[in-house]
Amino acid sequence: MSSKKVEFLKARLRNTEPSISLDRARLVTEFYRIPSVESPISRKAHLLEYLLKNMKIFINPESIFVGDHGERYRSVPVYPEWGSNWILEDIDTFDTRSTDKLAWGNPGDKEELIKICTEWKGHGFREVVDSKIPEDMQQASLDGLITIGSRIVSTASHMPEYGEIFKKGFRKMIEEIQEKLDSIDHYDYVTQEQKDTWEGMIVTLEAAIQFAHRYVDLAREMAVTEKDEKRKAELIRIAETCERVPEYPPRTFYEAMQFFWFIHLIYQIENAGHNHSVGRFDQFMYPYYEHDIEEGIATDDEIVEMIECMLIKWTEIFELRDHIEAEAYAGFPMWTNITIGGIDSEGKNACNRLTNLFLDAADGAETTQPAISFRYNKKIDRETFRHALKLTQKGLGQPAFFNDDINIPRVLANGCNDIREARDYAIEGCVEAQVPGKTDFRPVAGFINILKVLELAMHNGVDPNTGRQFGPKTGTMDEMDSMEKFMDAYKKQLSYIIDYHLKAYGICSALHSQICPTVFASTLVEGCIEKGRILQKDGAKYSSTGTFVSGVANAADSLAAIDQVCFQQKLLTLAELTDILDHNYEGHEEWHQMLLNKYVHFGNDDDLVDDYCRQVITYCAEENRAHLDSRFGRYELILLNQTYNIWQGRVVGATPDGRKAGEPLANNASPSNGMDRNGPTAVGNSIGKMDTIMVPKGVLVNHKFDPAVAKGEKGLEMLETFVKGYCEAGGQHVQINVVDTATLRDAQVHPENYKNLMVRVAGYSAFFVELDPRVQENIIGRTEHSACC
Amino acid sequence: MEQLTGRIFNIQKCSIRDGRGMRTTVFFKGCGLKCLWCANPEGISFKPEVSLNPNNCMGCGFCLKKCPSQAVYLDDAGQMNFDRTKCTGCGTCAALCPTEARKLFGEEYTVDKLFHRIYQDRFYFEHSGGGVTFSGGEALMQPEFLCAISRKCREYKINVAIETCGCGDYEKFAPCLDYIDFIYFDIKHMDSGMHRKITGQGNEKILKNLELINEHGIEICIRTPVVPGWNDSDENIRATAEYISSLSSVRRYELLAYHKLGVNKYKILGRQYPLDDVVEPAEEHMLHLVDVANEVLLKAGKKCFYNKDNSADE
Repeated sequence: MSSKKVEFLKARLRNTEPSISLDRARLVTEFYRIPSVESPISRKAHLLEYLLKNMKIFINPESIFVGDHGERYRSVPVYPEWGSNWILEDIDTFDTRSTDKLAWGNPGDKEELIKICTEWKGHGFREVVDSKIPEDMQQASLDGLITIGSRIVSTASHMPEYGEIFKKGFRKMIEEIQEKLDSIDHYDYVTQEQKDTWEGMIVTLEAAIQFAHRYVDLAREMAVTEKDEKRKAELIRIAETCERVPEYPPRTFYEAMQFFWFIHLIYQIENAGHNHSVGRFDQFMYPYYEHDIEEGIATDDEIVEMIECMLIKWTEIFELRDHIEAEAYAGFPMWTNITIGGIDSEGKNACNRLTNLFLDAADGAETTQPAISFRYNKKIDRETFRHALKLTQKGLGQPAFFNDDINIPRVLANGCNDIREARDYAIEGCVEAQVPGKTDFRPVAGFINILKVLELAMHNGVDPNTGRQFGPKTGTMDEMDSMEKFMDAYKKQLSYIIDYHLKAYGICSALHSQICPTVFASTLVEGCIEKGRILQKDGAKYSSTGTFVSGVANAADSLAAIDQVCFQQKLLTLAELTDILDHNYEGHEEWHQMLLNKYVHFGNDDDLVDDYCRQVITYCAEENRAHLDSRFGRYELILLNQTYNIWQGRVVGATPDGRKAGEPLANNASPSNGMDRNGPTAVGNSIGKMDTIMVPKGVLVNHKFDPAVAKGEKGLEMLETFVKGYCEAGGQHVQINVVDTATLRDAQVHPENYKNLMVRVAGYSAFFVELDPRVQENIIGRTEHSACC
Repeated sequence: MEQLTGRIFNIQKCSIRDGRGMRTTVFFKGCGLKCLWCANPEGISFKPEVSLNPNNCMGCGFCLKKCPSQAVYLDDAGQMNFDRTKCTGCGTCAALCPTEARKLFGEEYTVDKLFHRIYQDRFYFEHSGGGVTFSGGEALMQPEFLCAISRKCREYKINVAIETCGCGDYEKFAPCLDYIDFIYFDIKHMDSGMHRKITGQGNEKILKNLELINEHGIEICIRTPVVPGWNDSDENIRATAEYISSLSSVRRYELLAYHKLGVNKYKILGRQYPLDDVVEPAEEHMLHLVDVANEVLLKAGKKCFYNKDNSADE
């Protein structure tokens, strides 16, 4: 049980209906009405200044950290400059949709937003990008052949090195930037852009300091009338803190937390977007923790309470999304990631007392944000590791575990050549390991649907959905007399679509560098001040872009099936198989069933299919890497699709893995739904056969565990073994979900999706879906029981 | 030369209730007993067997067309039927069956093939002190194969446990014992007459085997599946505890609660489940029996336990 304050904050978060805030939309519209011919960099810096100066601010009862995203508690601002057409199209759904519903804050708000968006209509970033993307690419996007990322959000995904920023404070940084400005001795188009950048940086840092000072005034004003002495003291502490940070270095844990929050919040205010990650919280906050304890300023309990308050604050930030994303990403995720554990830059175990206190706080606050990443390695402090696993046992899927032995060499193999930096990596977004404060990583070039590409290869480059010749002509199926020939055709199609997709994204991405500079965010990443260049123009020390790949298991399963059925066993020719698929297995249910049940699937530690997976992923990664993004950074492959697997499955006909037309693709890097029949260790071994160090930047796999297996002391030992063994097998990331009753109920209704769900007792185990219904009820009862322990 | 093979009906990874750590459990086909409550009825017969789950049957007729023994036939009404008396367990139908409505239990494994499957999870064994558990059926009834695979595991330092009802021939399985690290040994009943009634065999040979194995010094955990109405009397549990008190290699005595997880398997094997009216024992009863056994065992420096959840053993 957390403190009274935390319980109050939790209840407020749960019980406040999220609403739409018009404040930002009004301000940004006002701002752009002011005529100006200044450069986009200056203009964007001044926009942030305008927002921070004029945003409505408030301090919530009981809150100890200040700074909110919208004009009222749990309200979401609107970014019309990033695209207004979609808002106008969706405007009636915001308060009616079934997931992530948003209320209108005041009468007339909806009408006013329509007015604002109508004024912006056709002039937001999205519309500008779309006007520059050729029609055939737009059509390919509509046909589901490619997705083009980052059109209504900034390139986002910032993860600074907070420890370094804290040491300086913004005032010192302003002085350093001023020295850069003073050092310009020749004015030309290059130095002029540097000048705009440096000046813009100073504008945003000054604006951030002034923003904090607005809270000084507000807190003082509120303290005057506050009757409750305790709250009055809290308000005075807020005032004193905001007077100090972010202008000057924080002295205490509390000041450092508020400093952190101003940066995290201003990222969100500067631009639409998400993915802003925290980095190694237990490392950069530790000196302040140690200081407070030594000086007797705070107790462990007070530190835990502060972290709990911050976890709740993280969860209060969310973004406005259209109805499709509101459904796909229900629960307002922002992909804020926080990293704990691991080794330090010297290679020593990095777990400390604060790591454990953070885990306690996460346990108490029970928030959905941020995602917690725990770095595991052989030197890890076992007690802290087990502490993290105990959180997992509760079934929240938190924390996810990351394997240092894969991620450190991976960072080194992809641009970084400093082992100390690599050891200091943290997770950003979902599963991407980066060097905090030195990297500008763009998470979403888009999702490449490699199963759709396989379909193209089986149709000589034609999309059977539309009849359009999309890919190159790589040969009819009659010509495919060997598996090598078919693989060759598939690779040619992959190369084509990767090139095509990255060209389309490149158009969007290059526009970001011209018209969407993130000036404040650039100030906080190493390299940008030095070079006088924004992140979007290769300012950061390391720059790269992620390409998501979807349909991994399906493609591997399909290739293994083709190899066996058409070439090894010669039961069908490739043309015959294609014909069966074109008819969605109609009249050939036996083939549908055989391909589902009789042929090997990825995730079972079977070398044939696992090797197809390895081959395809390596090929895609190399093809991606061969392209440079709009900042001349590399494209890196990430094996995840979130919930796009459903949407992307709709455009793919029946495939040789036994998947029928329109069915979802496999989730992330996981095996196809229910096809891993040999338990989680076999999944780990299959995953580990990929070149996880060199190739994919992230490999997202969720494992489901029977709660009876995962609970108790033996369950803890089992989870510990699983994570260790999985890492040794070569896994990059592992997330364990202890299955809940709802899942078991769903398995009763849709057994086809849960063929892999095992239940175990001594000397006996069984697949849940094969059990007698009465026995299933029994097990559900057991699960319900364990859930309340 | 013909290669040595073992007949296996299931390989189960990530087992956590069949010994220390995370284990791979290998189920040997064929058992000398025929316990009324057997949760693995597909493991009783030594012969390969075909199961049929009519719910999964799509009526493709492959089995009808290809069965070499005409065990699958059309009856007068034109319905497909399965005459198990004619089935030789050749597995042709199961290999063809697209939906796995028909499955073959009992596959031949060479030592290398089986070892490959075991070795796959070595990382998980190493981290947990786990390994392989040979179960069944009855592993001791394929002694040559058990010996060969256990020796191979020892070579690779993989921990080997067996779960046995003790009904093999000691002279035949004795060589295996050199490669086994841990033994779960079932005593289903101390009264030989009752033992015969519930398992089809008296317990004399089993207890004799236990005494002989005890001499080897491999740690033994005795287990009794507690089946209400059949072997769950205080007297029987006390008698078991008294009997094992003097066995030097026995340290622990585990009571397992009868469960019905295997019921569906009887249906798909075309058999009647003999204990339909037995209910699973209540937790209080299990704990009571633990107390009964411990009254005897604690004095002998041994301990009885019942593991309802995953609390650590002991």
